[in-house]
Amino acid sequence: MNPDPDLILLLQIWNDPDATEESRAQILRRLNADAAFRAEAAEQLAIIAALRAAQAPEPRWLELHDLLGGRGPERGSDEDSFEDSVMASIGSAPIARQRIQWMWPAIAALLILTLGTIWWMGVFGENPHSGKSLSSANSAGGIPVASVIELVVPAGASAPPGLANGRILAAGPLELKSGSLSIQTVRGVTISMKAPLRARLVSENEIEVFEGNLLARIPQGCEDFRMHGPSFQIQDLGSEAVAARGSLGTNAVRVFEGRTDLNAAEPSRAHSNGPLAETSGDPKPTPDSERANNVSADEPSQFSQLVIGDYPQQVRSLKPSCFWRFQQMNSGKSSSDRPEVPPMEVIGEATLANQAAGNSAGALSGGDRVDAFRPYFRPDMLSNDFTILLWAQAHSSKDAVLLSATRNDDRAKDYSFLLLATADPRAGADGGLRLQMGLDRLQDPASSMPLIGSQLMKPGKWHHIAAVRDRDMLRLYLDGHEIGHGRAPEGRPAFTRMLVGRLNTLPSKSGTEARAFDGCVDELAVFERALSPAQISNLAKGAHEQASGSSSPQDKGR
Amino acid sequence: MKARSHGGIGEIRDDARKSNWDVRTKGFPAHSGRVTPSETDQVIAAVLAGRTHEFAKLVREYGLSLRAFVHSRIHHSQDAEDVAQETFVSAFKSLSDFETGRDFGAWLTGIARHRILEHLRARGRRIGAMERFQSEVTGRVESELSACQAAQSNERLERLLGCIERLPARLKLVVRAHLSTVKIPRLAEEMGTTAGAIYNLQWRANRILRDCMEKPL
Repeated sequence: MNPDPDLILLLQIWNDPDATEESRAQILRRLNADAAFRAEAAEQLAIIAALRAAQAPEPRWLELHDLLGGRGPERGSDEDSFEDSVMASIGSAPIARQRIQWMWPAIAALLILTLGTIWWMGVFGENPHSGKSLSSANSAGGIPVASVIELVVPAGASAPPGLANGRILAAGPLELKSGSLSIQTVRGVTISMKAPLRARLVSENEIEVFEGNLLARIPQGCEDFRMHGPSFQIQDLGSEAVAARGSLGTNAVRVFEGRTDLNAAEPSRAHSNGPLAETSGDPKPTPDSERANNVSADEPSQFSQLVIGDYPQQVRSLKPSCFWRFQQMNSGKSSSDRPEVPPMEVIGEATLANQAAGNSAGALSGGDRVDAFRPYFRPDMLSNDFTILLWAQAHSSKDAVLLSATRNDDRAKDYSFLLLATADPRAGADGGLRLQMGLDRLQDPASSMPLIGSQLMKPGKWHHIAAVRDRDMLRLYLDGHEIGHGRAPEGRPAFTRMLVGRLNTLPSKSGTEARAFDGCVDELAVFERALSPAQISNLAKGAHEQASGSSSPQDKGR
Repeated sequence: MKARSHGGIGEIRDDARKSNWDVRTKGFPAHSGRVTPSETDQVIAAVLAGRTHEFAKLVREYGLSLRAFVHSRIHHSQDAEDVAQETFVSAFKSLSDFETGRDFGAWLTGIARHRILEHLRARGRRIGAMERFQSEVTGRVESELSACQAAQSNERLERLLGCIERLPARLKLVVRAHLSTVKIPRLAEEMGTTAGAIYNLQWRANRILRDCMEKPL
């Protein structure tokens, strides 16, 4: 049976923003006139919708979750969606999470049994491992650091020497030419790997990846676990991340949730060919990934990439203590290229700048117009310890509000949080803005709030800004250095809205627009915890060092 | 993570060749606590008695069909998911209004219709030509669409995943491409065919899936 040509046309123009009005009109006319066509069209649309619902990441509906007392839809395996999408993205079949869950008690028992055996064999002078591979040889003489949960070898292939289900591993190389391997460290970190893989188990707390795909699931209490390769290092993972290192030396790191610090280790030292163009659709929050995004597709490079999964389902579903990074400004693509809701609402005529360079920043005019960016915001995001990070580049030396958060409720203006850039006439011919931060319970936050910090920001230069609430202290950082601190108010405010680039008040209120920021902002991130000075310094350092060079990613990308 | 992140069409092609290619089976794990329609009233009674977490069972039971319903009328994925959540939140808050013995799924759908209308009103003129066209098409086929979806039980929707597995490789490739951001002309080039042929394949795949959903695997 041949399809109705109009039905094919309908499918063709359904998601095509460039379809002609004539073709759309043709379909609508046919739908008006032909009941059979309507039925056929409905069938197709019903299937498409069913596929979309099935294909969409399983939603984790926070509002509903809260309403139901924090238990949410009964499933017990919310991480499945992460795991499946991770494994799908790295080209592997999904791990059977439930199977692994069932395996935990068995693994624990096995681990205890095997460790006991090792001890027993050690006591009686006999080596329990006779394999010749480095892994098992190491385990014979070394401290056990992990055990094999599951080794899957394709039919006809032989198991790698020294690897078998239940085998205890010591530090040493891991090599897998086919199949897949899951191990669990003695600290409880589960690492799933897929061939071809070359890695080295450094300790129960560290693995180095030379080639291949690797997923790590880090339970609570296993902080400080590290995955690293020649040009990346992930440390202090909260719960789940993937590292993939291609045979050509390219790296991709995907962190799906948890507390994570990613450092690019000497990012520019090595070069290899990588599929750079294919990475441009993802957010590129790290300085290193900016670099990747800023070189042309045929330019050799090596890079690391920190990616929060598809927004917003995965970002919204992050648990407290995770961080939120807003993708809009990191994406080199316009929102029409991404089917998801833009995570950062663009208000007024705020725009993205330098998109052609593949690393856009949010651009604000600073005029009387109501330009701003409004990130997705949850009331409790700043109610406890927090860290707000962003890059900012002022285009002029006029007073401005870089970021504000208040209760969006005129009856209860109890707290406001402000990041201000205040003009300083003493700053010299080039001008300058004093960076200041305030958090207090005030009716008029902009006029009399106690402010912290006064270091100068230079117009035209990108600055890394960090505002931290650490229990009862507020700290402000500029380019990785603390420039002021003060006591935080006693209350724990529940803000309802955050705006980037202006005061968080209604547009109708006169005078507020005068504080609009003239310049660019980028890479806004909100951590629901206080980052340490060292962590902030590290986050600012990579790009800052780059920025000082003549061919900095900042210069190239912005 | 969508295919666009890494390999684009090449990855889709690779995936399609694999026997274990999946279309997001994560939404459909074996669920021991499943609520049969006849148990719905008991679950509702439990929720009304204060065991609010029991409502999650209803979300699991009716979530997929409700989401499919919303996705067919709101074509922006995240908006659709938001409206689906709002529907469940409304249902939870007004659960005491539900008359025991009636079709809970239909009741939910009624709430969803209101929510969808509110959403479309709020969107107002901000929609582009493509969205307007989608809305107009959906409006014109509303009754036919409702009839189709009335037949799409949760069981059938869950069957959909198995059905996709059974599609021929080329059709699987097309289905997946349509669910990702791969551009059809590029896919056509990769597959050595025309864009028109791709839409023909999509039509065929959809019909096969429809037929497959109607019978147990």
